[in-house]
Amino acid sequence: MNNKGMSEIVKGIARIVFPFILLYGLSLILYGHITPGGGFSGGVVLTGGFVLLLLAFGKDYVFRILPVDIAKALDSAGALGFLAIALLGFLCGSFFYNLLPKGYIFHLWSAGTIILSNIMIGLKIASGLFVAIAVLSMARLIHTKEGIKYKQSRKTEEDQ
Amino acid sequence: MSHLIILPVAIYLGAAFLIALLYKKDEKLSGAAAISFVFLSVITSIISGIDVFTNGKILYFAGGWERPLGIVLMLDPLSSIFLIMTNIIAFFVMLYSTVYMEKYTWAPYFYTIFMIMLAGMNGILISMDIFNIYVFFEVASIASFILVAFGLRAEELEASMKYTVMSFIASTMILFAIALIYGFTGTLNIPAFMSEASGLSPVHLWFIAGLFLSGFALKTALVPFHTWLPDAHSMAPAPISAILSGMFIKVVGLYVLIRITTNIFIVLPQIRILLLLFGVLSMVFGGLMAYGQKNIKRLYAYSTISQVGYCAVGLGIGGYLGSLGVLMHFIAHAFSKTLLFLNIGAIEYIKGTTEVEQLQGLNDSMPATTLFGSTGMLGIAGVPPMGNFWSKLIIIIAAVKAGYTGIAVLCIIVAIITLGYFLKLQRTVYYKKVENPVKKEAPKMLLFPMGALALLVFISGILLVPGIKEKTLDKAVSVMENFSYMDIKIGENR
Repeated sequence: MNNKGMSEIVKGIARIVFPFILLYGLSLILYGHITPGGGFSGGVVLTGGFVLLLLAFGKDYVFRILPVDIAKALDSAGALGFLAIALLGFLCGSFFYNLLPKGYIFHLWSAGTIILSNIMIGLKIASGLFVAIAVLSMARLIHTKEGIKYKQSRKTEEDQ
Repeated sequence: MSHLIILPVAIYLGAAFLIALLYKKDEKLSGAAAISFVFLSVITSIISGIDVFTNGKILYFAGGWERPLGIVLMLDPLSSIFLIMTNIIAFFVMLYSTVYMEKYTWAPYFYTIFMIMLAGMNGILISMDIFNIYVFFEVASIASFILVAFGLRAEELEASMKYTVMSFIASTMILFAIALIYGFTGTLNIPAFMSEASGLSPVHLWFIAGLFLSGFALKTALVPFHTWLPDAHSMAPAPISAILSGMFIKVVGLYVLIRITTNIFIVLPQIRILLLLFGVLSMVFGGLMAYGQKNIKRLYAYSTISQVGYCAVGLGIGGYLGSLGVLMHFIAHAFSKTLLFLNIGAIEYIKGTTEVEQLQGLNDSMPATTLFGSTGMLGIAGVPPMGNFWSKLIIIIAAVKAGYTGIAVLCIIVAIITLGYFLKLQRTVYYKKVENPVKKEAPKMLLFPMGALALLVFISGILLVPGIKEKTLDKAVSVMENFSYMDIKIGENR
């Protein structure tokens, strides 16, 4: 475990920085309706934190924190949640109708369903992008006599 | 009641992610879920279609925001015909793919991506906002890139790559045009843009129209923008080829071209001349190329180019007969080309090849498949009782009446060429005598959709019978002839 990934300095910095990246991503998502940002950019920042861990510690460590199957499920759940918010609008007469109380301007709870939509989009983008990068990290190009071959395995090197 | 127009998109999006979330391990269950969701959409689209055909168009305001602020959705007779056709074809293709996709791994993911593609196609048909059309166009296109490459063999990946690159060129042109529209007029809502458009200089207007025209003609695969189609449509799995050739290029390309020519850029009637040129080129070129093909799927793909050329010619001629010809030809060709691609898929399922030389005398071993395949071929070739005969006849009459006698003659010649290559194919592949045939028919689940489609090909001409025509096609034609988005008043609901 210890000899995997990058050097100890990189690992240490990554360990310190990771919570702050997550915090920044969450704040982008939650304040998306008041300040610049939103579900998409916040979700990308969240994924960025996991990519940092992936580069510093290797894929085994990251897949223990966030397994790919769970990320796939979260991806679908985010999309379904967004659709559910849209369908809730039918209760008050229209698709995507903003049926929650609007609150006061510039407060965190101030735009009805927009904040919920942002959370769902953030969930979807973060987990979807993580799955994409995970799949890329599992791929290997192997040089053989016939040429370059593509190989993909979910097994870690220790299992083999 | 008017909620029904948004439901197909919502159903397909929900279905896609529900299948990905719940049924990703179970192939049988995910297939059943996919079929039931598509069936639900067929019912919704038919109910809303009946409403539209009896009471006129429906407007829907997403989020309760009226135009010009919000996103407005609209279903009128023209888009309703396309919507119903998309869902019916998707239903048959979905029934077929539950069995056909068994030989591929990861069938649940196939259903997921298929549903996303259908959501995009349905979304294009209900949008009344130019950027909304673009977004759904991209949703449908990106899903189709993945579906073309679903088998993951080298040729399929190559075809998909070619298709992706060409398609993104089209997207770039369309997005550029949208950016110009927004820059010049400050709005993307179609009625608002049209009322501003008269103030634009002709150069700007022509530039925007040219970008739109070349972008959507690339998606419709009109010659000279056709190069991606033969590869993409012949390499994809058979159900995907069927829906791509049968519906996808017509929804993503032809429908938007119809809207652009007849409803949006009414100040530029010269667009029709360009469409006429593209149409004649693709009609002749597709027909001639199809004649020499050795691979059956490739032959069908070139035949699609040729037949879509007929639609473009009808659109270019315009007038009542031209518009009627476009709609009828689109309906008849959608049924028959879907049937043919499903048919070659069934043959590939049993025999394992699509090359003409290795497939001979199938009549003795697969009689039902042969029967349905011949129906589809005769249908596309335009043999009298089928719908395609009447549609080609209408387009030819329209061309003569509008004074394009040369084009009418070309239409007849290409129709004869079409009959020629299909008869040649039939003679060797289906009806050649072989010794010691082994009787092995395709599974029933593959035969049923083909049979239903063969029946539809046979009776699709019924839409032209007086009495039915006034209630269905004529209303859509009147949209193409008289409707302008500018007639929609603010606050109007129907």
